[in-house]
Amino acid sequence: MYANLPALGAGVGLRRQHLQEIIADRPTVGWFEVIPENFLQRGGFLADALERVATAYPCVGHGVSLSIGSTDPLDREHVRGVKQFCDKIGSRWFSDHLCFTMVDHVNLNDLIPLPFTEEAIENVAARVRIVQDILERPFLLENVTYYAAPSRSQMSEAEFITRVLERSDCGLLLDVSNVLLNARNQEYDPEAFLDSIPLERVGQLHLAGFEEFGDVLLDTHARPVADDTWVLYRKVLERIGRTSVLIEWDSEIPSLARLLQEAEMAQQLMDEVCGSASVGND
Amino acid sequence: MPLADVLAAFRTLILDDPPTGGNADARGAEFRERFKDLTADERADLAAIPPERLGVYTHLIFSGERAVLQWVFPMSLAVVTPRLIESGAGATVREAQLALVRDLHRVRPWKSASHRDLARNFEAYLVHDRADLAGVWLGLANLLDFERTELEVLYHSDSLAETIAPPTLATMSVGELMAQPIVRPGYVALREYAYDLIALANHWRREQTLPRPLPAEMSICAVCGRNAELMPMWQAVSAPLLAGLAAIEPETPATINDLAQVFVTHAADTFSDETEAFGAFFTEFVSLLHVGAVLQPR
Repeated sequence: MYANLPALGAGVGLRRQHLQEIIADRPTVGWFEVIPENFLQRGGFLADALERVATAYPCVGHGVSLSIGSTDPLDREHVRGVKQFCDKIGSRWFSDHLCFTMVDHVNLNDLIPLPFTEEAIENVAARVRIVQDILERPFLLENVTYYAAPSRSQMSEAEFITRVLERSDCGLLLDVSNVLLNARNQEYDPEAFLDSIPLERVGQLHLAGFEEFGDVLLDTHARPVADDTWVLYRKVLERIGRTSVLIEWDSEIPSLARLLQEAEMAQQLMDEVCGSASVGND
Repeated sequence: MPLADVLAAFRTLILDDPPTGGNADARGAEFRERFKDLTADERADLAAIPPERLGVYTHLIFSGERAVLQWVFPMSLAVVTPRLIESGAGATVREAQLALVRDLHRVRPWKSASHRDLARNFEAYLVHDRADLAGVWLGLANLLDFERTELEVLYHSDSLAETIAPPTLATMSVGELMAQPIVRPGYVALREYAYDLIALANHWRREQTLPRPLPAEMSICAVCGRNAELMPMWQAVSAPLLAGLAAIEPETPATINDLAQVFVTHAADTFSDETEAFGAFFTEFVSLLHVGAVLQPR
Protein backbone atom coordinates (compact mmCIF):
# COMPACT_ATOMS: atom_id res chain seq x y z
CA MET A 1 0.00 0.00 0.00
CA TYR A 2 1.33 3.43 -0.94
CA ALA A 3 3.11 5.22 1.94
CA ASN A 4 1.96 2.50 4.36
CA LEU A 5 -1.55 3.91 4.33
CA PRO A 6 -4.05 1.76 6.22
CA ALA A 7 -6.44 -0.48 4.31
CA LEU A 8 -9.77 0.71 5.68
CA GLY A 9 -11.91 -1.62 3.58
CA ALA A 10 -15.12 -0.29 2.04
CA GLY A 11 -16.51 3.13 2.89
CA VAL A 12 -19.03 5.63 1.57
CA GLY A 13 -19.09 9.36 0.99
CA LEU A 14 -20.45 11.42 3.86
CA ARG A 15 -23.43 13.31 2.49
CA ARG A 16 -25.61 15.94 4.14
CA GLN A 17 -28.74 13.89 3.47
CA HIS A 18 -27.51 11.01 5.65
CA LEU A 19 -25.94 12.84 8.57
CA GLN A 20 -28.83 12.59 11.02
CA GLU A 21 -29.33 8.89 10.32
CA ILE A 22 -25.64 8.10 10.70
CA ILE A 23 -25.45 9.91 14.03
CA ALA A 24 -28.63 8.26 15.32
CA ASP A 25 -28.08 4.71 14.05
CA ARG A 26 -24.29 4.32 13.89
CA PRO A 27 -24.39 1.92 10.92
CA THR A 28 -21.55 -0.52 10.28
CA VAL A 29 -19.20 0.79 7.62
CA GLY A 30 -15.43 0.88 7.33
CA TRP A 31 -14.99 4.61 6.91
CA PHE A 32 -16.35 7.84 5.47
CA GLU A 33 -14.84 10.03 2.80
CA VAL A 34 -15.52 13.69 3.52
CA ILE A 35 -15.41 16.55 1.03
CA PRO A 36 -13.89 19.50 2.89
CA GLU A 37 -15.60 22.00 0.61
CA ASN A 38 -18.92 20.83 2.11
CA PHE A 39 -17.82 21.60 5.65
CA LEU A 40 -15.03 24.19 5.61
CA GLN A 41 -15.85 27.49 7.30
CA ARG A 42 -19.25 26.20 8.32
CA GLY A 43 -20.81 25.96 11.72
CA GLY A 44 -24.14 24.78 13.06
CA PHE A 45 -25.55 21.40 12.17
CA LEU A 46 -22.89 20.58 9.58
CA ALA A 47 -19.93 21.22 11.89
CA ASP A 48 -21.59 19.48 14.81
CA ALA A 49 -22.53 16.42 12.76
CA LEU A 50 -19.07 16.11 11.24
CA GLU A 51 -17.48 16.18 14.66
CA ARG A 52 -19.77 13.38 15.85
CA VAL A 53 -19.12 11.25 12.77
CA ALA A 54 -15.35 11.79 12.93
CA THR A 55 -15.36 10.71 16.57
CA ALA A 56 -17.08 7.43 15.70
CA TYR A 57 -15.56 6.47 12.33
CA PRO A 58 -12.30 6.79 10.38
CA CYS A 59 -12.71 9.77 8.05
CA VAL A 60 -10.60 10.74 5.07
CA GLY A 61 -10.64 14.06 3.23
CA HIS A 62 -11.27 14.21 -0.52
CA GLY A 63 -11.19 17.61 -2.20
CA VAL A 64 -12.96 18.84 -5.31
CA SER A 65 -11.62 22.36 -5.76
CA LEU A 66 -7.85 22.29 -5.41
CA SER A 67 -7.60 22.80 -9.18
CA ILE A 68 -4.13 21.30 -9.08
CA GLY A 69 -3.63 21.63 -12.83
CA SER A 70 -4.71 25.23 -13.16
CA THR A 71 -2.41 28.06 -14.09
CA ASP A 72 -4.26 30.39 -11.74
CA PRO A 73 -2.26 30.93 -8.53
CA LEU A 74 -2.59 28.06 -6.05
CA ASP A 75 -5.01 29.04 -3.31
CA ARG A 76 -2.68 28.42 -0.37
CA GLU A 77 -5.20 29.72 2.12
CA HIS A 78 -7.61 27.03 0.94
CA VAL A 79 -4.90 24.37 1.25
CA ARG A 80 -4.13 25.54 4.80
CA GLY A 81 -7.84 25.29 5.56
CA VAL A 82 -7.85 21.75 4.17
CA LYS A 83 -4.87 20.91 6.39
CA GLN A 84 -6.73 22.08 9.48
CA PHE A 85 -9.78 20.17 8.33
CA CYS A 86 -7.75 16.96 7.88
CA ASP A 87 -6.22 17.44 11.33
CA LYS A 88 -9.67 17.88 12.82
CA ILE A 89 -11.19 14.73 11.31
CA GLY A 90 -8.01 12.67 11.72
CA SER A 91 -7.58 12.15 7.98
CA ARG A 92 -4.56 9.91 7.38
CA TRP A 93 -4.27 11.11 3.80
CA PHE A 94 -5.89 13.62 1.48
CA SER A 95 -6.85 13.37 -2.17
CA ASP A 96 -8.03 15.61 -4.97
CA HIS A 97 -8.34 15.32 -8.73
CA LEU A 98 -5.78 15.43 -11.52
CA CYS A 99 -7.59 18.16 -13.40
CA PHE A 100 -8.38 21.85 -13.32
CA THR A 101 -11.57 23.47 -12.07
CA MET A 102 -10.63 27.16 -12.15
CA VAL A 103 -9.20 29.10 -15.07
CA ASP A 104 -8.85 32.84 -15.38
CA HIS A 105 -10.48 32.98 -11.92
CA VAL A 106 -13.73 31.50 -13.22
CA ASN A 107 -15.04 28.38 -11.49
CA LEU A 108 -15.96 25.67 -13.98
CA ASN A 109 -17.68 23.65 -11.26
CA ASP A 110 -16.52 20.42 -12.86
CA LEU A 111 -13.38 18.33 -13.18
CA ILE A 112 -11.85 19.38 -16.48
CA PRO A 113 -9.04 17.21 -17.89
CA LEU A 114 -5.58 18.58 -18.46
CA PRO A 115 -3.69 18.39 -21.72
CA PHE A 116 -1.34 15.41 -21.62
CA THR A 117 1.78 17.54 -22.05
CA GLU A 118 5.20 18.04 -20.45
CA GLU A 119 4.22 21.53 -19.45
CA ALA A 120 1.13 20.31 -17.62
CA ILE A 121 3.20 17.68 -15.78
CA GLU A 122 5.69 20.29 -14.59
CA ASN A 123 2.91 22.63 -13.53
CA VAL A 124 1.09 19.94 -11.54
CA ALA A 125 4.26 18.61 -9.95
CA ALA A 126 5.31 22.04 -8.72
CA ARG A 127 1.90 22.63 -7.17
CA VAL A 128 1.69 19.15 -5.62
CA ARG A 129 4.98 19.74 -3.83
CA ILE A 130 3.58 22.90 -2.25
CA VAL A 131 0.35 21.12 -1.31
CA GLN A 132 2.22 18.21 0.28
CA ASP A 133 4.40 20.59 2.29
CA ILE A 134 1.32 22.31 3.69
CA LEU A 135 -0.78 19.18 4.27
CA GLU A 136 1.96 17.21 6.06
CA ARG A 137 0.33 13.91 5.11
CA PRO A 138 0.30 11.69 2.01
CA PHE A 139 -1.45 13.26 -0.95
CA LEU A 140 -3.19 11.24 -3.66
CA LEU A 141 -4.26 12.43 -7.10
CA GLU A 142 -7.34 10.87 -8.67
CA ASN A 143 -7.56 9.94 -12.35
CA VAL A 144 -10.57 11.75 -13.85
CA THR A 145 -12.90 10.91 -16.68
CA TYR A 146 -12.36 12.75 -19.91
CA TYR A 147 -14.82 13.11 -22.71
CA ALA A 148 -12.49 15.46 -24.55
CA ALA A 149 -8.92 16.28 -23.61
CA PRO A 150 -7.51 19.67 -24.56
CA SER A 151 -4.48 17.92 -26.02
CA ARG A 152 -3.42 14.33 -26.66
CA SER A 153 -0.60 14.95 -29.09
CA GLN A 154 2.37 14.41 -26.77
CA MET A 155 1.56 11.29 -24.73
CA SER A 156 -1.17 8.89 -23.65
CA GLU A 157 -3.32 9.26 -20.54
CA ALA A 158 -1.46 6.38 -18.83
CA GLU A 159 1.92 7.96 -19.53
CA PHE A 160 0.67 11.34 -18.36
CA ILE A 161 -0.63 9.95 -15.05
CA THR A 162 2.53 7.92 -14.50
CA ARG A 163 4.81 10.86 -15.09
CA VAL A 164 2.75 13.19 -12.93
CA LEU A 165 2.86 10.75 -10.01
CA GLU A 166 6.58 10.15 -10.34
CA ARG A 167 7.50 13.78 -10.90
CA SER A 168 5.27 14.88 -7.99
CA ASP A 169 6.13 11.88 -5.82
CA CYS A 170 2.54 11.51 -4.73
CA GLY A 171 0.05 8.65 -4.58
CA LEU A 172 -2.84 7.64 -6.81
CA LEU A 173 -6.49 7.47 -5.93
CA LEU A 174 -7.48 5.02 -8.65
CA ASP A 175 -11.07 5.57 -9.72
CA VAL A 176 -11.89 2.19 -11.21
CA SER A 177 -15.09 3.47 -12.80
CA ASN A 178 -13.18 6.27 -14.47
CA VAL A 179 -10.76 3.75 -15.95
CA LEU A 180 -13.68 1.81 -17.39
CA LEU A 181 -15.42 4.92 -18.70
CA ASN A 182 -12.32 6.34 -20.30
CA ALA A 183 -11.52 2.97 -21.83
CA ARG A 184 -15.00 2.82 -23.37
CA ASN A 185 -15.18 6.47 -24.39
CA GLN A 186 -11.63 6.63 -25.75
CA GLU A 187 -11.58 3.05 -27.01
CA TYR A 188 -8.68 1.43 -25.19
CA ASP A 189 -8.18 -1.71 -23.11
CA PRO A 190 -8.76 -1.01 -19.41
CA GLU A 191 -6.54 -3.87 -18.27
CA ALA A 192 -3.68 -2.69 -20.47
CA PHE A 193 -4.17 0.72 -18.88
CA LEU A 194 -3.92 -0.80 -15.38
CA ASP A 195 -0.72 -2.58 -16.38
CA SER A 196 0.86 0.62 -17.61
CA ILE A 197 0.43 2.82 -14.54
CA PRO A 198 2.37 2.55 -11.25
CA LEU A 199 -0.13 0.57 -9.17
CA GLU A 200 2.31 0.55 -6.26
CA ARG A 201 1.31 4.18 -5.80
CA VAL A 202 -2.38 3.38 -5.30
CA GLY A 203 -3.56 4.42 -1.84
CA GLN A 204 -7.32 4.26 -2.36
CA LEU A 205 -9.98 3.26 -4.87
CA HIS A 206 -13.25 4.80 -6.01
CA LEU A 207 -16.26 2.99 -7.46
CA ALA A 208 -19.26 4.80 -8.93
CA GLY A 209 -22.18 4.42 -11.27
CA PHE A 210 -22.45 5.94 -14.74
CA GLU A 211 -25.02 6.63 -17.44
CA GLU A 212 -25.21 6.90 -21.20
CA PHE A 213 -25.31 10.43 -22.63
CA GLY A 214 -25.30 10.60 -26.41
CA ASP A 215 -22.34 8.56 -27.60
CA VAL A 216 -20.48 8.62 -24.29
CA LEU A 217 -20.77 7.04 -20.88
CA LEU A 218 -21.08 9.78 -18.30
CA ASP A 219 -19.58 9.65 -14.81
CA THR A 220 -22.74 10.83 -13.05
CA HIS A 221 -22.38 9.14 -9.64
CA ALA A 222 -26.16 8.75 -9.80
CA ARG A 223 -26.47 4.97 -10.23
CA PRO A 224 -25.31 1.74 -8.60
CA VAL A 225 -21.87 0.46 -9.52
CA ALA A 226 -22.18 -1.32 -12.88
CA ASP A 227 -21.42 -5.03 -13.35
CA ASP A 228 -18.45 -4.28 -15.60
CA THR A 229 -17.00 -2.00 -12.93
CA TRP A 230 -17.21 -4.78 -10.34
CA VAL A 231 -15.30 -7.03 -12.74
CA LEU A 232 -12.58 -4.45 -13.21
CA TYR A 233 -12.49 -3.79 -9.45
CA ARG A 234 -11.75 -7.49 -8.91
CA LYS A 235 -8.87 -7.26 -11.38
CA VAL A 236 -7.49 -4.23 -9.56
CA LEU A 237 -7.70 -6.05 -6.22
CA GLU A 238 -5.89 -9.02 -7.71
CA ARG A 239 -3.07 -6.66 -8.60
CA ILE A 240 -2.84 -4.47 -5.50
CA GLY A 241 -4.42 -6.48 -2.65
CA ARG A 242 -6.37 -5.15 0.31
CA THR A 243 -6.96 -1.40 0.26
CA SER A 244 -9.49 1.33 1.03
CA VAL A 245 -12.35 1.57 -1.44
CA LEU A 246 -15.12 4.10 -1.55
CA ILE A 247 -18.58 4.03 -3.14
CA GLU A 248 -19.35 7.40 -4.73
CA TRP A 249 -23.04 8.27 -5.10
CA ASP A 250 -23.46 12.03 -5.21
CA SER A 251 -26.49 12.66 -7.35
CA GLU A 252 -30.00 11.24 -6.99
CA ILE A 253 -28.64 10.12 -3.64
CA PRO A 254 -30.24 6.90 -2.40
CA SER A 255 -31.16 5.90 1.14
CA LEU A 256 -28.25 5.25 3.46
CA ALA A 257 -29.23 1.58 3.58
CA ARG A 258 -28.99 1.30 -0.22
CA LEU A 259 -25.64 3.05 -0.26
CA LEU A 260 -24.29 0.77 2.44
CA GLN A 261 -25.40 -2.25 0.41
CA GLU A 262 -23.01 -1.16 -2.31
CA ALA A 263 -20.21 -0.77 0.23
CA GLU A 264 -20.97 -4.22 1.58
CA MET A 265 -20.61 -5.65 -1.92
CA ALA A 266 -17.25 -3.93 -2.31
CA GLN A 267 -16.13 -5.29 1.05
CA GLN A 268 -17.26 -8.82 0.24
CA LEU A 269 -15.39 -8.79 -3.04
CA MET A 270 -12.27 -7.50 -1.33
CA ASP A 271 -12.49 -10.24 1.29
CA GLU A 272 -13.02 -12.82 -1.42
CA VAL A 273 -10.03 -11.71 -3.47
CA CYS A 274 -7.66 -10.69 -0.69
CA GLY A 275 -8.68 -12.96 2.17
CA SER A 276 -11.05 -12.11 5.01
CA ALA A 277 -10.32 -9.31 7.45
CA SER A 278 -12.44 -7.17 9.72
CA VAL A 279 -13.96 -4.02 8.24
CA GLY A 280 -12.15 -0.86 9.18
CA ASN A 281 -9.02 -2.65 10.33
CA ASP A 282 -5.97 -0.65 11.29
CA MET B 1 2.40 30.77 -20.51
CA PRO B 2 1.02 28.54 -23.31
CA LEU B 3 -0.63 26.08 -20.87
CA ALA B 4 -2.71 28.95 -19.52
CA ASP B 5 -3.79 29.78 -23.06
CA VAL B 6 -4.78 26.18 -23.76
CA LEU B 7 -6.85 25.97 -20.57
CA ALA B 8 -8.45 29.33 -21.28
CA ALA B 9 -9.33 28.27 -24.82
CA PHE B 10 -10.89 25.07 -23.52
CA ARG B 11 -12.88 27.04 -20.98
CA THR B 12 -14.14 29.38 -23.69
CA LEU B 13 -15.23 26.48 -25.86
CA ILE B 14 -17.12 24.59 -23.17
CA LEU B 15 -18.54 27.46 -21.20
CA ASP B 16 -19.00 30.56 -23.29
CA ASP B 17 -18.62 30.18 -27.00
CA PRO B 18 -18.71 26.71 -28.60
CA PRO B 19 -17.08 26.15 -31.99
CA THR B 20 -19.15 26.93 -35.07
CA GLY B 21 -17.05 24.97 -37.58
CA GLY B 22 -18.66 21.76 -38.85
CA ASN B 23 -15.56 19.56 -39.20
CA ALA B 24 -12.02 19.50 -37.86
CA ASP B 25 -10.65 21.50 -40.79
CA ALA B 26 -13.33 24.14 -40.44
CA ARG B 27 -12.77 24.31 -36.70
CA GLY B 28 -9.00 24.57 -37.28
CA ALA B 29 -9.58 27.60 -39.52
CA GLU B 30 -11.95 29.09 -36.96
CA PHE B 31 -9.48 28.56 -34.11
CA ARG B 32 -6.65 30.23 -36.06
CA GLU B 33 -8.65 33.41 -35.75
CA ARG B 34 -9.99 32.86 -32.24
CA PHE B 35 -6.93 31.49 -30.44
CA LYS B 36 -3.97 33.30 -31.90
CA ASP B 37 -1.70 32.62 -28.91
CA LEU B 38 -1.90 28.85 -29.34
CA THR B 39 0.59 26.87 -31.41
CA ALA B 40 -0.58 25.07 -34.53
CA ASP B 41 -0.41 21.73 -32.67
CA GLU B 42 -2.46 23.05 -29.79
CA ARG B 43 -5.09 24.39 -32.17
CA ALA B 44 -5.13 21.11 -34.07
CA ASP B 45 -5.69 19.16 -30.83
CA LEU B 46 -8.64 21.37 -29.93
CA ALA B 47 -10.05 21.24 -33.44
CA ALA B 48 -9.93 17.45 -33.34
CA ILE B 49 -12.43 17.36 -30.47
CA PRO B 50 -15.98 16.78 -31.74
CA PRO B 51 -18.23 19.64 -30.56
CA GLU B 52 -20.65 17.16 -28.98
CA ARG B 53 -17.86 16.01 -26.67
CA LEU B 54 -17.25 19.60 -25.62
CA GLY B 55 -20.97 19.80 -25.08
CA VAL B 56 -20.76 17.04 -22.48
CA TYR B 57 -18.78 19.41 -20.25
CA THR B 58 -21.16 22.25 -20.93
CA HIS B 59 -24.00 19.99 -19.84
CA LEU B 60 -22.19 18.80 -16.72
CA ILE B 61 -21.16 22.27 -15.60
CA PHE B 62 -24.58 23.85 -15.94
CA SER B 63 -26.33 20.80 -14.52
CA GLY B 64 -24.09 21.09 -11.45
CA GLU B 65 -24.88 24.77 -11.01
CA ARG B 66 -28.57 24.07 -11.46
CA ALA B 67 -28.43 21.38 -8.77
CA VAL B 68 -26.96 23.86 -6.28
CA LEU B 69 -29.59 26.46 -7.15
CA GLN B 70 -32.40 23.91 -6.88
CA TRP B 71 -31.20 23.09 -3.38
CA VAL B 72 -30.89 26.71 -2.24
CA PHE B 73 -33.79 28.30 -4.16
CA PRO B 74 -36.45 25.62 -4.71
CA MET B 75 -39.37 28.02 -4.26
CA SER B 76 -37.90 30.89 -6.28
CA LEU B 77 -37.16 28.54 -9.16
CA ALA B 78 -40.70 27.20 -8.95
CA VAL B 79 -41.99 30.77 -9.20
CA VAL B 80 -40.06 31.68 -12.34
CA THR B 81 -39.93 28.38 -14.24
CA PRO B 82 -43.47 28.50 -15.74
CA ARG B 83 -42.67 31.95 -17.17
CA LEU B 84 -39.39 30.62 -18.58
CA ILE B 85 -41.24 27.81 -20.34
CA GLU B 86 -43.90 30.22 -21.64
CA SER B 87 -41.19 32.44 -23.06
CA GLY B 88 -39.63 29.53 -24.95
CA ALA B 89 -36.47 29.12 -22.84
CA GLY B 90 -37.08 25.38 -22.86
CA ALA B 91 -39.81 22.83 -23.35
CA THR B 92 -39.31 21.16 -19.98
CA VAL B 93 -38.53 22.37 -16.46
CA ARG B 94 -35.01 21.00 -16.80
CA GLU B 95 -34.34 22.64 -20.17
CA ALA B 96 -35.80 25.96 -19.05
CA GLN B 97 -33.77 26.02 -15.84
CA LEU B 98 -30.57 25.04 -17.66
CA ALA B 99 -31.16 27.95 -20.05
CA LEU B 100 -31.59 30.21 -17.04
CA VAL B 101 -28.33 28.97 -15.47
CA ARG B 102 -26.45 29.51 -18.74
CA ASP B 103 -27.68 33.07 -18.90
CA LEU B 104 -26.79 33.59 -15.24
CA HIS B 105 -23.26 32.49 -16.06
CA ARG B 106 -23.13 34.86 -19.01
CA VAL B 107 -24.26 37.85 -16.96
CA ARG B 108 -22.73 37.07 -13.57
CA PRO B 109 -20.14 34.27 -13.86
CA TRP B 110 -19.44 32.19 -10.78
CA LYS B 111 -15.87 33.05 -9.86
CA SER B 112 -15.31 30.92 -6.79
CA ALA B 113 -16.26 27.47 -5.52
CA SER B 114 -18.50 29.04 -2.86
CA HIS B 115 -22.19 28.18 -2.84
CA ARG B 116 -22.77 31.48 -1.09
CA ASP B 117 -21.27 33.38 -4.02
CA LEU B 118 -23.40 31.48 -6.52
CA ALA B 119 -26.50 32.16 -4.42
CA ARG B 120 -25.71 35.88 -4.20
CA ASN B 121 -25.12 35.98 -7.97
CA PHE B 122 -28.45 34.29 -8.63
CA GLU B 123 -30.38 36.60 -6.35
CA ALA B 124 -28.79 39.70 -7.88
CA TYR B 125 -29.30 38.34 -11.38
CA LEU B 126 -33.04 37.76 -10.95
CA VAL B 127 -33.63 41.02 -9.11
CA HIS B 128 -31.49 43.32 -11.25
CA ASP B 129 -31.00 41.63 -14.62
CA ARG B 130 -34.26 39.77 -15.26
CA ALA B 131 -37.09 42.21 -14.94
CA ASP B 132 -39.21 39.79 -17.01
CA LEU B 133 -38.93 37.16 -14.27
CA ALA B 134 -38.85 39.48 -11.26
CA GLY B 135 -42.24 40.72 -12.39
CA VAL B 136 -43.87 37.29 -12.22
CA TRP B 137 -44.62 37.86 -8.55
CA LEU B 138 -43.79 40.98 -6.59
CA GLY B 139 -42.71 38.87 -3.64
CA LEU B 140 -39.88 37.24 -5.60
CA ALA B 141 -37.15 39.56 -4.31
CA ASN B 142 -38.26 38.83 -0.74
CA LEU B 143 -38.37 35.11 -1.45
CA LEU B 144 -34.87 35.06 -2.93
CA ASP B 145 -33.57 36.80 0.18
CA PHE B 146 -35.51 34.38 2.41
CA GLU B 147 -34.05 31.30 0.74
CA ARG B 148 -30.50 32.66 0.56
CA THR B 149 -30.73 33.68 4.20
CA GLU B 150 -31.39 30.06 5.19
CA LEU B 151 -28.18 29.07 3.43
CA GLU B 152 -26.25 31.81 5.22
CA VAL B 153 -27.64 30.75 8.61
CA LEU B 154 -26.86 27.09 7.88
CA TYR B 155 -23.27 27.84 6.88
CA HIS B 156 -22.42 30.62 9.35
CA SER B 157 -19.68 29.98 11.88
CA ASP B 158 -20.83 29.06 15.36
CA SER B 159 -21.43 31.48 18.18
CA LEU B 160 -19.25 31.29 21.26
CA ALA B 161 -22.41 31.54 23.35
CA GLU B 162 -24.55 28.60 24.46
CA THR B 163 -28.22 27.63 24.55
CA ILE B 164 -30.56 28.93 27.25
CA ALA B 165 -32.99 26.32 28.56
CA PRO B 166 -36.41 27.93 29.22
CA PRO B 167 -36.85 25.98 32.51
CA THR B 168 -33.72 27.67 33.83
CA LEU B 169 -35.37 31.06 33.40
CA ALA B 170 -38.61 29.87 35.04
CA THR B 171 -36.90 29.46 38.41
CA MET B 172 -35.51 33.01 38.49
CA SER B 173 -36.92 36.03 40.28
CA VAL B 174 -37.96 38.96 38.08
CA GLY B 175 -34.79 40.84 39.06
CA GLU B 176 -32.54 37.88 38.23
CA LEU B 177 -34.41 37.34 34.99
CA MET B 178 -34.01 40.90 33.79
CA ALA B 179 -30.30 40.85 34.63
CA GLN B 180 -29.77 37.54 32.82
CA PRO B 181 -26.97 38.03 30.27
CA ILE B 182 -27.84 37.21 26.66
CA VAL B 183 -26.12 37.20 23.29
CA ARG B 184 -27.58 37.51 19.81
CA PRO B 185 -25.51 35.03 17.76
CA GLY B 186 -23.85 36.31 14.61
CA TYR B 187 -25.78 33.85 12.47
CA VAL B 188 -29.19 35.25 13.39
CA ALA B 189 -30.92 37.07 10.54
CA LEU B 190 -33.51 39.78 11.19
CA ARG B 191 -35.91 40.52 8.37
CA GLU B 192 -39.04 42.45 7.45
CA TYR B 193 -40.86 40.98 4.48
CA ALA B 194 -43.86 42.28 2.56
CA TYR B 195 -45.18 38.72 2.22
CA ASP B 196 -45.74 35.93 4.73
CA LEU B 197 -42.87 33.77 3.52
CA ILE B 198 -42.89 31.59 6.62
CA ALA B 199 -46.38 30.40 5.73
CA LEU B 200 -45.30 29.98 2.11
CA ALA B 201 -42.29 27.87 3.13
CA ASN B 202 -44.45 25.72 5.40
CA HIS B 203 -46.81 25.10 2.49
CA TRP B 204 -43.87 24.20 0.25
CA ARG B 205 -42.44 21.71 2.75
CA ARG B 206 -45.83 20.11 3.16
CA GLU B 207 -46.97 20.00 -0.47
CA GLN B 208 -43.76 20.41 -2.49
CA THR B 209 -45.68 22.88 -4.63
CA LEU B 210 -46.46 26.58 -4.45
CA PRO B 211 -49.94 27.74 -3.49
CA ARG B 212 -51.96 29.16 -6.40
CA PRO B 213 -52.46 32.02 -6.54
CA LEU B 214 -49.23 33.10 -4.90
CA PRO B 215 -49.74 34.95 -1.61
CA ALA B 216 -50.92 38.54 -1.55
CA GLU B 217 -49.03 41.21 0.35
CA MET B 218 -48.97 40.77 4.13
CA SER B 219 -46.06 42.27 6.02
CA ILE B 220 -44.25 40.15 8.59
CA CYS B 221 -41.24 40.52 10.83
CA ALA B 222 -39.13 37.38 11.01
CA VAL B 223 -36.05 36.00 12.67
CA CYS B 224 -33.99 33.11 11.31
CA GLY B 225 -31.88 31.28 13.85
CA ARG B 226 -30.96 27.68 14.51
CA ASN B 227 -33.17 25.09 16.18
CA ALA B 228 -32.10 22.37 18.62
CA GLU B 229 -30.64 20.34 15.72
CA LEU B 230 -28.70 23.48 14.71
CA MET B 231 -30.64 23.74 11.46
CA PRO B 232 -32.01 27.08 10.17
CA MET B 233 -35.47 27.89 11.49
CA TRP B 234 -37.69 30.93 11.04
CA GLN B 235 -39.85 32.52 13.69
CA ALA B 236 -42.37 35.29 13.11
CA VAL B 237 -41.93 38.06 15.67
CA SER B 238 -43.56 41.38 16.45
CA ALA B 239 -42.05 44.60 15.17
CA PRO B 240 -41.10 45.71 18.72
CA LEU B 241 -39.19 42.48 19.33
CA LEU B 242 -37.43 42.78 15.98
CA ALA B 243 -36.44 46.32 16.98
CA GLY B 244 -35.16 45.00 20.31
CA LEU B 245 -33.02 42.34 18.63
CA ALA B 246 -31.69 44.85 16.13
CA ALA B 247 -30.62 47.07 19.01
CA ILE B 248 -28.35 44.34 20.37
CA GLU B 249 -24.96 44.06 18.67
CA PRO B 250 -24.31 40.51 17.43
CA GLU B 251 -22.03 38.42 19.64
CA THR B 252 -21.96 41.20 22.25
CA PRO B 253 -23.21 40.54 25.79
CA ALA B 254 -26.44 42.32 26.74
CA THR B 255 -29.22 41.56 29.20
CA ILE B 256 -32.83 40.51 28.87
CA ASN B 257 -33.63 43.92 30.31
CA ASP B 258 -31.88 45.64 27.36
CA LEU B 259 -34.08 43.72 24.96
CA ALA B 260 -37.24 44.24 27.02
CA GLN B 261 -36.72 47.98 27.29
CA VAL B 262 -36.55 48.43 23.52
CA PHE B 263 -39.58 46.16 23.10
CA VAL B 264 -41.65 48.10 25.61
CA THR B 265 -40.65 51.45 24.10
CA HIS B 266 -41.69 50.31 20.61
CA ALA B 267 -44.85 48.65 21.88
CA ALA B 268 -45.96 51.51 24.10
CA ASP B 269 -49.09 52.20 22.04
CA THR B 270 -50.08 48.56 21.82
CA PHE B 271 -50.51 47.69 25.49
CA SER B 272 -52.57 49.30 28.21
CA ASP B 273 -49.79 49.20 30.78
CA GLU B 274 -46.22 48.11 31.34
CA THR B 275 -47.20 44.85 33.04
CA GLU B 276 -49.16 43.77 30.00
CA ALA B 277 -46.26 44.78 27.75
CA PHE B 278 -43.71 42.79 29.78
CA GLY B 279 -46.08 39.81 29.74
CA ALA B 280 -46.26 39.96 25.97
CA PHE B 281 -42.49 40.38 25.81
CA PHE B 282 -41.76 37.20 27.77
CA THR B 283 -44.25 35.18 25.74
CA GLU B 284 -42.40 36.18 22.59
CA PHE B 285 -38.99 35.91 24.20
CA VAL B 286 -39.46 32.17 24.80
CA SER B 287 -40.09 31.67 21.08
CA LEU B 288 -36.69 33.20 20.38
CA LEU B 289 -35.05 30.51 22.51
CA HIS B 290 -36.56 27.77 20.34
CA VAL B 291 -34.87 29.15 17.22
CA GLY B 292 -31.59 29.94 18.97
CA ALA B 293 -32.01 33.64 18.25
CA VAL B 294 -30.88 34.45 21.78
CA LEU B 295 -28.17 32.55 23.65
CA GLN B 296 -26.25 33.12 26.87
CA PRO B 297 -22.52 33.83 27.20
CA ARG B 298 -20.44 30.81 28.12
